[in-house]
Amino acid sequence: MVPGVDTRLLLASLVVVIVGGMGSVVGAALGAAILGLAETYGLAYAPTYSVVFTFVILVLVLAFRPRGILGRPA
Amino acid sequence: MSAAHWRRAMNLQPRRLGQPAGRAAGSGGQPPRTGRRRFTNPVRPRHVLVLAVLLAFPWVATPFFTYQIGAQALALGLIALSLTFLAGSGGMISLAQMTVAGLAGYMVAIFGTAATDGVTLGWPWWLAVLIGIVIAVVAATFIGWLSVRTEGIYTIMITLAIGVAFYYLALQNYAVFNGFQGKQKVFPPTLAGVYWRDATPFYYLALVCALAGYLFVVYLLRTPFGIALQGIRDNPRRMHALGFNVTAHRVAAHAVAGALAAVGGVLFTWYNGLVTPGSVGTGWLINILVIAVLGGMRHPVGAFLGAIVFVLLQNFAIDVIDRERFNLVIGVVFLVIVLFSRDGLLGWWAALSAWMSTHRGGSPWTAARRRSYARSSPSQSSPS
Repeated sequence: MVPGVDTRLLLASLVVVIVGGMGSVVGAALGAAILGLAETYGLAYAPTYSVVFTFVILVLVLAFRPRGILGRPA
Repeated sequence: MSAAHWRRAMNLQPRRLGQPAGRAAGSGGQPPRTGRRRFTNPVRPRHVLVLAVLLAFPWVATPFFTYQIGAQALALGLIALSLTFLAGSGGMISLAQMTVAGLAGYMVAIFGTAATDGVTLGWPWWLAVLIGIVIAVVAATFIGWLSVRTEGIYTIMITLAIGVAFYYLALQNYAVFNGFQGKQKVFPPTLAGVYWRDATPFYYLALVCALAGYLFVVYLLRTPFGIALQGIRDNPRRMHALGFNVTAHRVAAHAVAGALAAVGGVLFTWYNGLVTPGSVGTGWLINILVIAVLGGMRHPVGAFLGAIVFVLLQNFAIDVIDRERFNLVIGVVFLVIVLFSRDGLLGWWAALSAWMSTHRGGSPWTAARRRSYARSSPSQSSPS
């Protein structure tokens, strides 16, 4: 743990919730799995751009499912 | 409006492009007011006064004030103006405006000249600026096309995500963007015997661009497009029912805002003399939002007021209090302005002119202005 980890975790958890769909517990788990795997595999296969992957996934999900993967249409 | 509505709006696009019914309805509701406004002289004494002050500023101020305060506030104000236009008139809060601006700056560095590793093609400055602005507008249109399907916090998130993704891309990519160091020594050209990076010429360059952008936005808000956009901000479902293509209007607003941000970004890059990932980082994305909120979003001039206060605070808060606590002063001033006014500095101006007109009998224009603020405030107070 070092100072500055908070920002990374806060942003990551927000991205997870948005990708999964706000208000959906299963969605949050799904989002966490997707983003965690993407970041880890990204670090292994394309270390330079692994940080970009998280946000590319967020953009793609919001582009095709504006309320997140399991977000309910209000 | 639900996602299903958005998809329906997207699918109906080809059939609605002509929209004769929508245009007739849009102009039918407005004629008496716009007609009268168009034929009265819109130039007031205060406009002339402000213009005179702006023109005379470099002669009375030191080069530091001209360059660091004046020119920086104008360049930042132009970027914030794009957000004010999007959020105040279109109801879309985009955090990616600084990304668009930074992209324009990077393109100027890449196609023009910069003294660093990585790609610099060394093309003439006007071609580089033109290409930079065109690429930034295309990027802004793409960002708009992605983000207009979402609403509320999702719009903010998707634009923030695009901004952060671009930040990391610029940070990690050394072949084109030169990584952490970015592009150094990106200077404006020497033209007609004038080196445009000197304080006074650069101030006038920024002033001309900022004035052009400001007048363009003021004009655009009175055109049918601008009025339709404000209608879409207030009630997208009703505008859709009237036959307006909501999605197309929103994407077009993003493109216009992108052009403004691109010009501001080129100016800001020239001002700094460099463009780095830090200048498109989260801090600056949010600073632009702070500037726009600080100034007020109900009129385009708010962006420049906010930029002046922001730049003054950034430069002089350190003199008020010791070196380690100066961010506290900045934060407190922002908080006080936002806390005591629903609409930034413009809200204070409206309250002041209303107070003056009640306490002194009031001149006609203060009373009229108060009426127009009273009329427009309920609809404009909630940009989302």
